[in-house]
Amino acid sequence: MLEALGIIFSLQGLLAMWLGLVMGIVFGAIPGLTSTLALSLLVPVTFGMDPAIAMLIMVGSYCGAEYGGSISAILLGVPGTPAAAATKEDGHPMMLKGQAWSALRMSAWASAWGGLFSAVVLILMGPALANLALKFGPPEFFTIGIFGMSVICSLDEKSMMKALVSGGFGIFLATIGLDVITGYPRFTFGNVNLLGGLELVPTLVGLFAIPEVIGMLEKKERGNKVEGKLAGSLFPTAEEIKKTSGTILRGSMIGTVIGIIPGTGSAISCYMAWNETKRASKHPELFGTGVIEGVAAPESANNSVTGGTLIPTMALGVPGNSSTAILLGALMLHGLTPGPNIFNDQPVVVNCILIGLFVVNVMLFFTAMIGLRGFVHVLRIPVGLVAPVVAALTIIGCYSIRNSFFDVMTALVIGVIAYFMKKGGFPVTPIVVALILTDTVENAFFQSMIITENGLMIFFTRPISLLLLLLTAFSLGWAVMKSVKGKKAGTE
Amino acid sequence: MFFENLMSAFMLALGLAGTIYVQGFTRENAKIMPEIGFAIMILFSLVILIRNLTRAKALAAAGAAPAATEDCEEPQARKKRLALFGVKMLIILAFFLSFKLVNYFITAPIAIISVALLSGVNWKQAVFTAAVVSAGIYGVFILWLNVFM
Repeated sequence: MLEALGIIFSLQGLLAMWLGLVMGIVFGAIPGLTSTLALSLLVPVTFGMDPAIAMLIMVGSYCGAEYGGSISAILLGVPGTPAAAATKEDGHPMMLKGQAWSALRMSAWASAWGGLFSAVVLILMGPALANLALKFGPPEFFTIGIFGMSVICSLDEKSMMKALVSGGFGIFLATIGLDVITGYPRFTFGNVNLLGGLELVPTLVGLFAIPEVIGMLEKKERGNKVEGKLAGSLFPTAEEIKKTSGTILRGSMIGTVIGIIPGTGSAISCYMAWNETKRASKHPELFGTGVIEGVAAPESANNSVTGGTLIPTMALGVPGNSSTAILLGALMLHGLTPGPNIFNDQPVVVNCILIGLFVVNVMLFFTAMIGLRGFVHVLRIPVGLVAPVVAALTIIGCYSIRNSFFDVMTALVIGVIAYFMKKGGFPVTPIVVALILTDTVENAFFQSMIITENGLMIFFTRPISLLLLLLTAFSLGWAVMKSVKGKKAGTE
Repeated sequence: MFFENLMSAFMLALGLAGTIYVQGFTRENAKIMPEIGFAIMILFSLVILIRNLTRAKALAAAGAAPAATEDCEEPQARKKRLALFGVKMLIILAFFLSFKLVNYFITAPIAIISVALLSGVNWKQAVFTAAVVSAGIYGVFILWLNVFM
């Protein structure tokens, strides 16, 4: 713990969190750029760093982007990220009423408290998860992997089948290279570059950054005009705090719980929090016309999702959304194996993430409020300028890891496929989930088979393994039910 | 719908080709996971294709006109936009492919300026951004080497 505190409060640690935070806010604020893109661009940059520092940057960026979306949602009425969609409902009307500063200040205030709440939950759950980790063996790892893969079914709200196709494609990509158990080369076609499997950085960059770049090149949007008076005190007024304290607490609780459930995410939590606040309000009819609780609820919820999603990501190695899938990839890139054992094997990195999340959220409020006028300027940047810059950073990022042209080409090929998949409505997050979990599932399965001499009952006789299988069945059942309900609603 | 069918067909073809290819693997255990992946791809992309085909047939039988798209762009403007998009893509592609031959500190600003100008950004803004990004690339490396390493 002391070592982690030393890293966090060192110049490097504080600078890393702050830089990540600023980058995240900028990416979140520009409509079309997301936390996923910010994180995928950061992966190559953080490659050579100390794992703890690298994770601090990533956590900073993740939190920053979740907040940053609210800036454009309030000032332009266009959410910078899906997580800020509900903030627009009351944030933009507040801006139109001349209360832009008040809305932006509440958004930063609620985001910071939401993030702090989830960080505390994460810190409190840490020791319990570490104890649980000691009971894990290959059968449990196999069932965890299967549970994680079942999340794929819930990752696309529109079509479960498309998510499954993407998942299948992810399994294929994960099996490229030497098979760890038998040492057999799969899909390498004699190319030595493929023996070690697909490199994670170019794959992530290809899946998330390149389709965004191509999408931006298609558009012909100009920079936005930003209106609204941006001046006022740093902290919310006593009346605002009194009005929104309960709302922020409710939003934080909703966000944390939603975040813990893999496959859900901040877009759902922010609407849920907004709706619940509206339901609980004495004046629900005022929601949507510019009430401050309508900003506080979604913002506290979407930032509290960050801590929530980190729980299954770190404890089970199951990413809850695309951003945590990249965080998981970044952990693996630094030689850390996400999953129950990480709490015992890498206590310093884990403590850095847990405490770092807390510190980042304190930083968030002050960075957001002091730098707000600067962040507003990024909304004026035309998309035509952002696209080539992101393209350049993407390519250089891929190349700089191993100075390998093969990695650049890998990113390009995967990026073009991912672009067409997105055009066809196929989600790319299931690819990453499958890519990360396939190795765990395959290795743990064969290890279990070696232990039991091909006895499948081991998965049903161990309590944790059985519980995870039941959770998998529940997760699959829930996804199917949601899909059927969605179809019925579509036909009505 | 076009891209949905295109990608379903691509996944189906990839799944089928992969299934045939893995039959050549001499280690049985190495086959299992890829076969599962390919089976999922084949099964669900086939379902998507059949579903879309059935829908299209039903629509054709009912004599319904194809669903109107939101795109109300004039053909001339659309052609111009697509041509511009093609040129911008070619520049980015050239940037990718020239990576091995030319130093990226030279190619990155060229790519940024040319794509930005084609996107209608004024030249001062384009040159300024290219300069900032180039300096930023150096900055990241300097920061990376001196502070974080």
